[in-house]
Amino acid sequence: MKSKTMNRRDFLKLQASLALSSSSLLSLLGVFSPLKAEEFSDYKALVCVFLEGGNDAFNMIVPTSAAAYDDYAKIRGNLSVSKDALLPLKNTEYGLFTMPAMQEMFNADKLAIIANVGTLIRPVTKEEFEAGIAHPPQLFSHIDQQKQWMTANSNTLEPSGWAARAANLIENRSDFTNISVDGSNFMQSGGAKPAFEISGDIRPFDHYGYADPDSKAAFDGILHQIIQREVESEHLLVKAYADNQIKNIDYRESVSGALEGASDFHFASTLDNEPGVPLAKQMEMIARLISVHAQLPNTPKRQIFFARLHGFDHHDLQMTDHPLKLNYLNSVLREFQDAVESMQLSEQVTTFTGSDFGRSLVPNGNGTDHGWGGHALVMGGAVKGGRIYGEIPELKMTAGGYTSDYITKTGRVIPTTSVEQYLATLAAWFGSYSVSELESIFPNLNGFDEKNLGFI
Amino acid sequence: MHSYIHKLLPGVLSILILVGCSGSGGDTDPDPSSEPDTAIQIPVESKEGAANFLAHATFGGRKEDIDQLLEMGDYTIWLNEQFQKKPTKYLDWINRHQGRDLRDVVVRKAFYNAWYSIAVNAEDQLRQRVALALSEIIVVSSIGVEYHYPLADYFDLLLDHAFGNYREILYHTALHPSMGIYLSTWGNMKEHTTENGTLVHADENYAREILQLFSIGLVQLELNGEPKLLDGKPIPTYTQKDIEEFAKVYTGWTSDNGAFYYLDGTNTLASLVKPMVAYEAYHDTREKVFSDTFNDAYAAPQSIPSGLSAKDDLSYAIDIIFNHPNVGPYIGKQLIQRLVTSNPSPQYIARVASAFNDNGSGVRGDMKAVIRAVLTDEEALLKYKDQHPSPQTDGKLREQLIRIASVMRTFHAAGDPSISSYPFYDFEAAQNLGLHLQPLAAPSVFNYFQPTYSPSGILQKNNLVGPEFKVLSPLKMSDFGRVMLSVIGLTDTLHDQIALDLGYEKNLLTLQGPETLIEHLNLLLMSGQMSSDLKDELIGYAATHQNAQDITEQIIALIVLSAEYAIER
Repeated sequence: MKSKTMNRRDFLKLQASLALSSSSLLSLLGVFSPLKAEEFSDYKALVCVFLEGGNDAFNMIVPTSAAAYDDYAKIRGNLSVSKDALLPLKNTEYGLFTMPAMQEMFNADKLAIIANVGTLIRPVTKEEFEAGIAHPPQLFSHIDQQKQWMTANSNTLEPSGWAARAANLIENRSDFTNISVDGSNFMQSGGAKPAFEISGDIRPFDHYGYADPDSKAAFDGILHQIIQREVESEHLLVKAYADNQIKNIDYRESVSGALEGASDFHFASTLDNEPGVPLAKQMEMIARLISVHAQLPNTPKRQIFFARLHGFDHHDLQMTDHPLKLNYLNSVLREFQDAVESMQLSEQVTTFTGSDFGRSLVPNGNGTDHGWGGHALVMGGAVKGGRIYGEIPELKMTAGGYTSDYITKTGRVIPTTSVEQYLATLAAWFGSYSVSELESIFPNLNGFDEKNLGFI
Repeated sequence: MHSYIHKLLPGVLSILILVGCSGSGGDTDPDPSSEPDTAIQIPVESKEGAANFLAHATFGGRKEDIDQLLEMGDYTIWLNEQFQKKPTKYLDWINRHQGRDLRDVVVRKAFYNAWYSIAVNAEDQLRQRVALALSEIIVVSSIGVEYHYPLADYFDLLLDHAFGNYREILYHTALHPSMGIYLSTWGNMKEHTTENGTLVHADENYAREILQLFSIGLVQLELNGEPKLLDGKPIPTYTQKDIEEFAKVYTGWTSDNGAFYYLDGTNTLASLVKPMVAYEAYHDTREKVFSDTFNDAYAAPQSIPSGLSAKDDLSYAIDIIFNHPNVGPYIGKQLIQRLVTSNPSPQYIARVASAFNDNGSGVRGDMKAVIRAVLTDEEALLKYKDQHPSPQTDGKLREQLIRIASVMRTFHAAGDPSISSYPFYDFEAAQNLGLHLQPLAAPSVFNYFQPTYSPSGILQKNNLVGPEFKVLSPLKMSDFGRVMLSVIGLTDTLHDQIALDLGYEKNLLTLQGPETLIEHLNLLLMSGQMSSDLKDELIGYAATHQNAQDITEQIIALIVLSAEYAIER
């Protein structure tokens, strides 16, 4: 039976009506079932490492064959990376720059590269782009592109994140389905449950850092007493606030209790002057939480984690700074994968990168401007690694301009894979969603032929 | 070592050392408004009423402020006095404390220190509160504008116009380089075709946000803020076509730097604190015609004639936007939300919107009239508490910045000058503690929280909004608790200790006992509205822990961390 393509409104109506007459409706639609009838028997986690600012992916993965490298170097000028620094990727004509652990993982089939992925409403060529049609709104704006990556619906002003929508379809969803170690983000907001935010840097429930333990006990005691009374307040805002305080206390007990039993990971990678909470600390926290996922309230079987490495907006000083960031990322990802493997969860934890956009191929002095398409990395035991999925456009310029159909006149690379296709592939592995469910999570997925890129 | 020379997207910025630059704010209150209306009298009924009023209109009523207002005897007199006060400005503060070192890492710290210092000490309290409120509506942010120097100047602009006219606020913020950079009007060229044959459109960012956020919102509104309905559905205010038409207006502007950025790209900090200038060659002088959807709200179809200069075009556009019937209710409601309550009744909104539409002397957009209407409304003043239409849902969650500043102000916080050259608040240490909220640092143009945010749980179930809850989710409670305890002095995790002056309070406890202290704190912190339950709990605790050295600080902390206090009513 051909499954009906549903739009979101249909899907939501269906969810409501299912409450009334499940079996007859289910049989009408065949395999479609929006709520998981049975609990997942296994554990799976997706870990997003968002490279904030726009990663210059075309310097992360660089052509290695002589002619192609020369073409690349001609376009990128003073920004091109040295050929000697490239680490060859097996069975490809490309190399990784300054990411030895990632090379190793690629060659061991645990890392896949998703080529030239970016926000798209539908596939588009450079002619259409120059004519100003069919490209996502606010294309080179950080906040808009980050949002579109995280809401995965470039066709509209989508208010909810794709991870929130994915979590909505999980029956046992809880406050611990979506977890962020770098604060609130669009990817995880707008769902039925908020994301649990925990800082990777500060000890989580250092509840009131009060010095004298006896005084602390007395103080905490009376404060709890006050809160417990206020929860019964007839004033709705007072009650709402007290409700939040109670939740904080509950989480303190349950989560910090669970964390006490967590594996004691310590990641040694560092980066000078790293803005915000260090990625190493963030990933350490994720590893710890994964190690005790079975002790968290509701015992989540499916979790989506969000971490962020800041500072990729290399309008300036790209040649000194970008390599350090890539190298650091490489190092942290290695430590994280080691931690996952030590927990024997390699097949169950998949880590993937995203970024606002790539950069313009053409330098603007010693930096780059905002671009569009860029490459993503996917890492884990379940990944069908050792391959580049999708198309890396030919980086070549002749007298007539760029030879590729996907490079604009100003040197921006038009994505050949959409964010929806990329994320839907990950989501399909994660939640075992059907095609219809995936289309409800990614309403714009219909604009593309290939709905699963097959890398996991 | 990461250098701090950034590029503005996509131009180049070089930081020059400045001497004696001037702000772009211009004259204070140059805008049309009425003379203060001394005929209206609104007597101050009690010290609790005075305290409550000051909680809305300032960063916290100290004992002497409450006494002074009580003595004035009339809220109108207080307002008129505040309307006359000159602004305490940020660029001045920064220049005085920073001198020649204008690296952003240094200016940023100075800016935040200035903010707290001014909130705690400055006399133009009302103006500062209103400017903060405006900065949360007409948003620019350091996430987007990488330099705090022009951001400080932007804040000064809001200070200058806080008691002026909203039309001028719209106009002058449009021309501030901070806004230009933030919403991409800076260096925005009219539609053109490049040499290679690429058609480049004018940027639509500002055109969209000025309508969506700074003036009229997405749907047509009644005077009382309710959406107008057609066949049961809300009516949109504009279409994509209107955005494109307005986008033509905001072309040709760039910082006053001798070149349009595209050609040269060198900018100085000095150029970022002066209004943008127009390069007519890049300005779209075509006629601007609006859709039926947009025109529906007006008596006659709106358009802007062709052939105008960039400045005249902008003026025309701002006038059209300013005169949209939505502005009164849309902006009026948000000002109520920032100053008094998250869920005002439709009648309250209508009263404020009416004051916006006509200040009583035929002037539209008079900020003084609007502020007066917001702060002295029957739903704002404590004296009318018994007649309040919805006593169980009134008030708002105190905004974090104000919550911290008011504790500091109420108890005369002074920094320790021996620790750092800033007499206030170490912003970096606070960030490490878990405070990630600062003025002009919103994550997006939608501010830290949207006016329509309704947290899940009991508020959502009752169709109530609580915008400030967005940044104080359950999981942020610990962070915020740590910050407050440090401000109060119970922990010393902040590097620069802010010493609250609790001499008066400690004496009160010693000489007169816990009940008197708690009544005093009740007045200062909660306008006398503390519940008897909380009073009993605190008195009981104080009585059994009277020997603890820091019992006064503990009592203050317990109040400040309580839900009753958190919700200002």
